Parts: sequence; structure tokens; C-alpha cells
Amino acid sequence: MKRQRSEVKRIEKTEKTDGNEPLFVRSMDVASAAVVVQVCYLFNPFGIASCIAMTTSVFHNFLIAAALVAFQSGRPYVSASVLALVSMLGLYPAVLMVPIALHYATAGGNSKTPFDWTAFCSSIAVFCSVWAGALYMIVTLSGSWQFLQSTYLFFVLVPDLTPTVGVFWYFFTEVFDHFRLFFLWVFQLNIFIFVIPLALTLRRSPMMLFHILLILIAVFKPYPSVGDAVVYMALLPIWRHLYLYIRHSFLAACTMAVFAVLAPVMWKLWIQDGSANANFYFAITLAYCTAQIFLLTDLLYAELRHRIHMTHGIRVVDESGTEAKIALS
Amino acid sequence: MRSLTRSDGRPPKWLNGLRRKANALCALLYVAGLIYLACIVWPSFNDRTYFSENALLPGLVDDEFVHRERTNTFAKQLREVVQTRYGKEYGMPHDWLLEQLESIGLEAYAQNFTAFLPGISGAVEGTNIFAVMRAARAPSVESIVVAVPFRSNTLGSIGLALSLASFCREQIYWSKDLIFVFTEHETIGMQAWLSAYHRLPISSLKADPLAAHGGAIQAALALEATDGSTPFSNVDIRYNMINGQLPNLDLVNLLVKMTEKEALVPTLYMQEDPHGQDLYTEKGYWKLAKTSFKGIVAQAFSRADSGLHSVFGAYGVQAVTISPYGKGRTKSQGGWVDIGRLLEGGLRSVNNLLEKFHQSFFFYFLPSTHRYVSIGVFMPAIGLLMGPVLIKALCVWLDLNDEGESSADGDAKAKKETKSESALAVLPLITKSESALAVLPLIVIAHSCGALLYFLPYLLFNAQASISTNDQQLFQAIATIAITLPICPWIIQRNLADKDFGVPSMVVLRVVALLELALIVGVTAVLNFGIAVLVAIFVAPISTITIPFRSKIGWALNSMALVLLHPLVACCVALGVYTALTVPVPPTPSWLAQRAFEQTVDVTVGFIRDSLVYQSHLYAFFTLALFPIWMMFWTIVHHRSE
Repeated sequence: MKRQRSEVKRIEKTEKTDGNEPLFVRSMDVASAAVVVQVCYLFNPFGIASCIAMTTSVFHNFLIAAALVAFQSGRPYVSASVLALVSMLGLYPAVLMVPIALHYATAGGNSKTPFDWTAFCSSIAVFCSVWAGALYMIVTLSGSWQFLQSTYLFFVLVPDLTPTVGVFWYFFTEVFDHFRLFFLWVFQLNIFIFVIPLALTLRRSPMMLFHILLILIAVFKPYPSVGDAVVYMALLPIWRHLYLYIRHSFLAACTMAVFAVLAPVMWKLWIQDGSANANFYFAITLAYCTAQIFLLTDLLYAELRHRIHMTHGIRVVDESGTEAKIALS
Repeated sequence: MRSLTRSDGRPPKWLNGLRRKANALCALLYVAGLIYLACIVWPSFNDRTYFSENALLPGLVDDEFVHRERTNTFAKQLREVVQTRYGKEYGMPHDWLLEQLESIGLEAYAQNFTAFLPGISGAVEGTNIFAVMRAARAPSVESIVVAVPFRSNTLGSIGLALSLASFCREQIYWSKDLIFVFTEHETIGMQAWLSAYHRLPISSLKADPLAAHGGAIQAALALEATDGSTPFSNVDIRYNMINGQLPNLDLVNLLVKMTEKEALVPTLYMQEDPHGQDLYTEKGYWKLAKTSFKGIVAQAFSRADSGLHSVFGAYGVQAVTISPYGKGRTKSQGGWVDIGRLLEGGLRSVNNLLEKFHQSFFFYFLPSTHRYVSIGVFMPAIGLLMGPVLIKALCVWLDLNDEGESSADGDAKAKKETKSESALAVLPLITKSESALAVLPLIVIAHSCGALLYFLPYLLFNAQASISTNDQQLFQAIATIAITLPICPWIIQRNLADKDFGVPSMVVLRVVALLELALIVGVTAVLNFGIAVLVAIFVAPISTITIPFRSKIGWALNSMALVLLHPLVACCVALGVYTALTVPVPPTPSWLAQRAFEQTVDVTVGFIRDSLVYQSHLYAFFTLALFPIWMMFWTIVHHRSE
């Protein structure tokens, strides 16, 4: 059962407000967002499929949602602790600590407030200590450090190449052994390296950073599943005020729908009938990753564009009075 | 992506050109698709068949099967046993077969099975007889299956199989087990044997476990000569399996080569190839086109009646049926021995395999025995035929987004909001949230109607129950529901319009229906190209022009076209046309209508039976996939805007 989530919206005031209504968050959207998000989560076909398959992604999603609730309702250390639990289970949600720590460092102000390093470091410290405590508990309960082989080292070293909806398995079937470590580093860095520029760009929008990092994790995890996609898809309705600027919704939605139908078909053709081969399945999986990346870049573009329009109004005119074109460089 | 939008968020320039010329482009693409399909049959655009798997070494060995007398003796004895024991009823003499197989020196077993089918009172019971010949040189990890159905006119084939078994027993070079299976009730028995062999139970088929196994089946050859008198002149090679699956092209090519080695003529769908010099002429082209068309139809509506090979597909086994027929001219060739040598050559080639069949094509169709059209050549046809559907969907979607140009109902709010954002790509689905969300109940209803039609046979006729029904009752139930369901959206629309959901936007429903059609046809094109291309040819043009017309004439024409496309009606009409074309005497309309109706009943109940026993997905395709889309288009046409 998912808890309701509340979202914090920061509405900045500009000088010109007439004609700018679409930029602002409507109060009726905030009220209805909780219900819409719940409906989107409950009726998501990927979520239903995960439930039918009886996977543990239900627990992961629950803990991430719990961390998000604590995050948005102003409980920094609770959210850090819950996130430590998720990170203990699967390694990669640890990057979600960055938006949480950023939020408590900027403390909900505007760009003028100074960066509070104490809050930043203390939330990260709580995160690390809860994680360490949980690890210590596991060590005492199981008696040895054997579990690392089956958990974190399994994620990091990618020994098992069972086909998933991710990009790792196909590539690592082809890689030569003496290059394996190099490519492991490159692929694993993919998740962590993108956090830095994203955090610098979105340091004043930690909720958007959280959302984007959810998509990033779902794409670049070594062993992803469609259950990872459910949380960020359910959260999409909260960005109602950004829908003006999203460009590839049709393409991404159609690609997702095609993936949902075609992936089981390709799997069946490959594994059961023996007619197709791995390329068929990998192609459709790659289309799924591409759709997710489209969604990610769209959200980022929409957020940045929204910021410009919030400061310059909905029609951006330069000095001569002509309408300026805003380009993503 | 840079190319999909300009960096300021506006759609790219080519998209505007596309929208202006959308209708012309759709018509052009559809016609191009039809022309493309006609062109790929022409030999210049496809390739000659070749062997991809080097290990097969087809036809290199000298065939040693010469046991004419043994074959004749077996066949004669079998006839006598069947005559004396069963008379005209042609029952299967299980114990005689077991005795003969054991006297040859093979391990012979029997397997009982029971099939519960709707429309047939009582259960169908039978016994399969199978014998395993263990490989002398290898552990029993792989096997080849030779299958012969027991029928009144396959007694000669069974005799040949028995003497072939005795011949194979004497050889030392087998690296795979040979399993000889004699099935009762043809493909039902074969399915029972296969499900027991692979330990995959089927709910409507109760098959006893097998007493012996032989390892992974590499290939299966089924022999089904109807007892015309030898000598034969042709060998019909049948390769269409259930659900449109096809065996590896190497296996088909192997049997073609073996047939030619025995100086027999291989045919596909009883159509001979054009002669060498006729290949690039008009006469040859019509032959190729006819064979291709028969291939497409056979793949589309693949039932289990083409041979025992058709049920092997679900288990990942490549299988082909050989069916000798025709009147040979000389007595020295075309006899049972030559068929036996053909089979021996095939078995020895498959014996050489190191890996299972994977090299050659699995997705193809054959215009002749020596030419093939692979998936890379025929798939663009689906792209061209479905292109109009996708372009229409895109254009309608973009029209929804455009400022002040939306064709939905009641969107004054959208007009006000979109006025101010000339440079932005708007997503007004949310601004039209009332009328867009109201489409969801219609979509759910359409799919529920399809689901109801799908589950109806299983609900009405429980497989294990003692309710005995006949085909007519089953068909009547389905037809009644299928014909009365289209009223549902009408009723629901009347009720929905009162609530504050708002009026459902037909434009949004149209986008959803078009996209769903494109998705279904695209996915089916990979699974079963035949049915996909047939649906694309007939449904695609109608779907692009299905809009809520204002004028009476447009509405009437649209309705008529859609009624013709209703799955049951389309089936009736297609069967009527086919009957009219193939009947030698021009028929009267009433006789034709009656024949078409009877055949529709047969076909529908046949699909249901196939889905129960052979796990054929044709019935599911028509009810779960196509019928909801038809319902959505029906709703669009009959929408009354208030």
C-alpha cells in the first residue's frame, strides 16, 4: 500500500503575471495530484506485472516512496535513514541522497540563501551511519562478510548475464575478458558520473533532481526491471506546470507501449520458439531505454525552460521587441 | 534529439509538410505497399535458396534403402489386420504395431491420451505407438522423430515407416536416437505425445507420461502419403505450423533436394514450380504469385490439418511433412522405396548436425521450392501498409495540439490557453482533461467485449464437464454475442454524457484506436506475417478513413465498410468469395451464402478447438486484439455529437 505523497511547490513571483497563468502551479492540480499519482501507480501495467511476478521491487518502491514522503514533509534524518535502507538492499538508490542533502542545504529558500554545509553533511552522515549500522546488523546476524559476494559485489561485478531489460547483459556477453574490468568501470560510472552535472544544474530543484535520478537509476542499473519504472512514471503528474514544454511525450509514450507488447513477444520467439535470437530482444530493450532517456531529457528541458520563463515571462522578448527563440545549447 | 524538434521546441519543418500532404501520402504509401508485395514475388527481387548449415551435407551419401519387399509385406499385413479386425471402421491395431516394432528390435511403447473438445460430445480417446531406436555411437541426448498418422489411407506410409525403422536399426552411423511415432487421431495424438515428451501439460488434453525419452528433438519428419497407387510423381512439402511458425529454411531446402535426388518433383501447396525458362516470364510470375498467396493464407490461418508437423513448433522443434502424390509415369521410380530413400537421406543429413537448426531463416515465405523471400524483404511491406495508419495517428495528434484548431468537443478553455503560446508545443490533453478522460471507459468497454468473446467458449463449455454440445450451439452463442455487443458503446455513451466527465472526445479515441491497430499489426507481423499482411491490406485503408462523418452518405458508407470488417462478417464474405472462385460451376447466391455460413461456423469452432488443444492464438487474435479495435472504430462512426 502506498502512502500519499505531498509535493512542495515553489512558486516564484515575477513582475509580469498577466498571461503567465500556465506557468504557475494551479491549486486544484496540487489537490488532485495525490489522487492522480496513486491511480497512475496502481494501474500501471508494469506495476501490475511486477506484482504478478511477485518480485521484491514492491519493497524497493515502497521504501523509495517513504523516503520521498519524509523528504517532502521536512524530516531530513528520517528520509536519510529510509534511503539508507533502500541503498542497503540495492546499491544504486544511494544517489538519491544527493537531492535530499541538497534540499536540506538550501532549506527551501530561493537562490539567495547560502548553501548550508552543516545540513548537507549531517544528512549524509546520518545516511552513512544508518547504512553502516544496517550492515553491522547483517554481519552479526549472518556471522561473516560472505553476504557481500552475493549482494554488492554481484551488482558491481555483474557476473550473471541473464537477459534483463537493461543494457549490461548483451554488451558483457561480447566483451573480451581482458577488457572486462575496464568496461565494468565505464558502465558502473554511468550512473554516478551523471549525478554531478545534474546536481549542479538542479541544485535549486531537488524534487526534479530526485525524479530524474530515479529515471537514471532505472536505465543504468546492471539488473533493472520494469518494476523500477513504476515509481517515476507515477510521479509524472506532479509536473503539471511543465507539460507546456515537454516535446517528446507522444514518441516516448508510443515507444513504451510498443515495448510493453513487443518485449514478451521477442522473448518468446527467442527463448521458447528458437526462431529469433538475442538481437531481437535487445533491440526492443534498447528502445525502452531510449524512451526513458527521452523522458529524462524532456523533464530536464522543461524544468530549465520553465525557469527562464519564470524570470522573463511567458513570451520572452528581447530589446527590440521581437520574440526570442530559446535554444537548448 | 536534435532532429525531432527544433531547439526552440517547435516541430521540425518536415513535419509541417507531412501534415499538409497527409492524405495524399497515406494513399501513396498504401498503393506502394500493394505494389511492393506484388513485386517481391518477381525473381529479380528475391534470392535462390541455399544451404546455410554446412554440417547438413545434403545428398552427399549414397542411399542404401532398397527394401521393397519388406515395405510391401508390412503394408499388406497391416491392411489385412485392419480389415479383419475392424472392417470398414479402420481402427488402429495397436498390439500388431507393437509386435512388429519389437520384432524389428526397437523399444516399443504405447501412450494413452484423452482429449476434451467443445462441440464434440464425449471425449476423444486414443493411443499412440512409438518406438525408440537408440543411437549406437552417442549417448541419447538428441533425437530425430519420424511421425506417421494412422488413417484409412496412410496404411502404405505406415508400412514404409516400419521397413525404414528396420533398415535404420541395422545401421551403425546414427549419432542421434530415432523415434518412430504412429499417432491416433492425427495431430491430437501428436500433440499429446509432444506434451508428454516435454512434460508441458495442456489443460484439455490428458496424456499419459511416456515410458521412454530420447533427448532433445532436433528435427521431425512426418510422412503422410494418401494411399494413391505408387508410383508417385510429386512430393508435397508442407511446412506451415500452428501460429504461423515456420521451420528453419534449411530443413525445407534439405527435403526439396532429397526429393529432386529421387527424380520426383517437389511441390508447395500442390503447385509446381515454373520451369527453368519460364521463371522470368509472365506465366511463371502468376505461378509464383499463386504459390506465394497460398503460402500467406496458409501461414495466416494455419490449422493443424496440414500434417503432423504443425504441432511441433510450440516446442521449438523444426518439422516438415512429406506428402507424396500424383501419378508417376514409369514404374521404376516414384515407388515406396524412393520415398524411403528420400527419408533416409533426410535423416542422415539431420544426423550430421552438430547444433540445432539456427543458421538459416525462420521468417520467410516461398514463392517456389527454389526461391525464398526473407523477413528483410517482406517486412517493409507491412511498414508501407501500416504507414498510413501511423501518419494519420500522428496528424490527428498534432491537430489536437494545434492552437485553435482542435476538432474535439467543448474546448473553449483550450482555445484561450493556446492563443498565447505560439512558439510552444502544447500538450492540451490535460487541458481537455474532461473529454480525454471520458474516452477511457469506452476503451475499457471495447476491450472487455473482446475479452468476453474470448472467454465465452470456455465459460459455456467446461472442458471436463459432460455437457455435450455441438458446433452449431457454440457458434450461435458466439455469433449472438459478437453481433449484439456493438450496441454497448451506444448505451454507455448515452449514460456518460450526463455526468461531469464530459463528452468523450472521438479524436482522442481515434488516435488510440489507430495506434493500437498499428501496434497489433506490427507485433503480429513478426509472429505470423500472413495474418498481419492480410489484416493490413483490408483493415488499414478503412481505419484511416473512419471518422465521425456529418453527412448521411458518408456515415452510411462508413458503417457499411465497418460492418464488412466485423470479424465474423469478414470471415463469411472471404469464405464466400473463396468458394465462388474455386467451385467449378457458377453457384447460386443462396447456395453460396449457405455454404459460406456453414464454413464460417466450421472455421470459428475450429479456431476455438485449436486454441484448446494446440494452443493456437488465432481465436485470441480475432477476439482479444482485433475485435476491440473494431468496436472502437464502430464507436467513432456512430458517435452522435450533441
